Amino acid sequence: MKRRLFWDRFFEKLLSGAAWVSVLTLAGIFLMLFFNSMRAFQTISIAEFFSAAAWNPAAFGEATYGIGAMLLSTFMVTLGAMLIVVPLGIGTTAFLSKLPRRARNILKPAIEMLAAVPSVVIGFLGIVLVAPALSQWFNLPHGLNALNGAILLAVMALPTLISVTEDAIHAVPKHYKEASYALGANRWETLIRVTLPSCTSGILVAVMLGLGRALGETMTVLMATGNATAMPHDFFESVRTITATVAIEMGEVPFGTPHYYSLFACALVLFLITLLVNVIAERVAAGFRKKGQ
Amino acid sequence: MYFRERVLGKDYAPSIKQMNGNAQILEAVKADPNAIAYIGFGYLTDESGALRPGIKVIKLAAQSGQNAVSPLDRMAIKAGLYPLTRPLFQCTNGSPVGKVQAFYAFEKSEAGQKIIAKNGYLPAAEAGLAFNSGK
Repeated sequence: MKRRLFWDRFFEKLLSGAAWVSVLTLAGIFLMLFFNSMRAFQTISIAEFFSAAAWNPAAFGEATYGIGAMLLSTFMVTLGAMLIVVPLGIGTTAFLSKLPRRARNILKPAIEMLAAVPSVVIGFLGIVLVAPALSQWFNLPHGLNALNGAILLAVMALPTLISVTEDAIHAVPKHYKEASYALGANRWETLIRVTLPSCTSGILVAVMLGLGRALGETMTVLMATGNATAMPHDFFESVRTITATVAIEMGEVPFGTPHYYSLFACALVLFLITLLVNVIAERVAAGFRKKGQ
Repeated sequence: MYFRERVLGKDYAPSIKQMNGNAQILEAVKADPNAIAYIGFGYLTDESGALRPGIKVIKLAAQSGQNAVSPLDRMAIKAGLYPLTRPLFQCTNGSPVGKVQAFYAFEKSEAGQKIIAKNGYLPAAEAGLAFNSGK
């Protein structure tokens, strides 16, 4: 009896400890980013950091620290990916939901396997497959541009989006659809007017999760987008996302300089954006669950 | 930084593309008819010492009027005629001892220098070897 009590307490402590480790890690990462960023802002003005377009910390002349172009690049690549992946993902899911169970049980895991492909492999495909194709189709000198990054990120976000959307569509009560059919609606009308509207928040969560994943993706965009720091004007120009900048420059930066600390500031901005997206997704999901009960 | 000081004397254009390493630069140049880039010259040749296909190596001269030389011309580099060369440094925590020291000795030996040359790099210059043996 005593021994059982001991093990009971032991595992309770162990598991609550494990839960706290993840909370403390998150807090530690945030504090580390925050304090290092603050050291950057001792020399760089915050206004310049957010408003200036040019990022050139290792300049031959005067160094400039502006994340404007990088922010725009990040949003171009991620939102471009969302424009591609959302219709594709919802369409695929709608198709999956009409398939007989056996076919779906093969197709859905196959799609989810796509998430297991390492990002460096996707990036490599971007260089050897997507880039030449883009340069040929659009008659460009090279295909390392924002569109390439958006296509690759769309491929990477696809499994998350399909998986979560499928769960949402599956959760729509069967009698909604049956009522719709009984009223004489065909399958297309039922899908567009009944099934999809009743799981909007689930689809929104799926999109947000995909967005969060795309925002933080580094290796793929680093390999496929060309990494030019110039302000991009369209999807056919090379862009450099915040993640790529941190990855490229962290390896070469002299330790303890404003340039070094400014990379933490970049990471902090990215962290806050991703956090915001995830919090919104969580809120929407919570509302969704409440409605479901 | 070396390239900007030695060649350009000013900043890169902001539209310059940056690649994740020499191998990727090489692939990007092969794919883009308008591309020009600089890489470490160990990446120009394959294992047998032949120039990799799909690229063109540009001859350089330090000053106008001089004969431009190719970086593939080992003798020209050794004679100091090719303008863009620099040594490669190795850093250790304090003076090398034990296994690190043995490894350095091997690198400086004839066998070690042969391996360096075989991989497309130039053997350590006399000045470099003299600097190391002084320590």
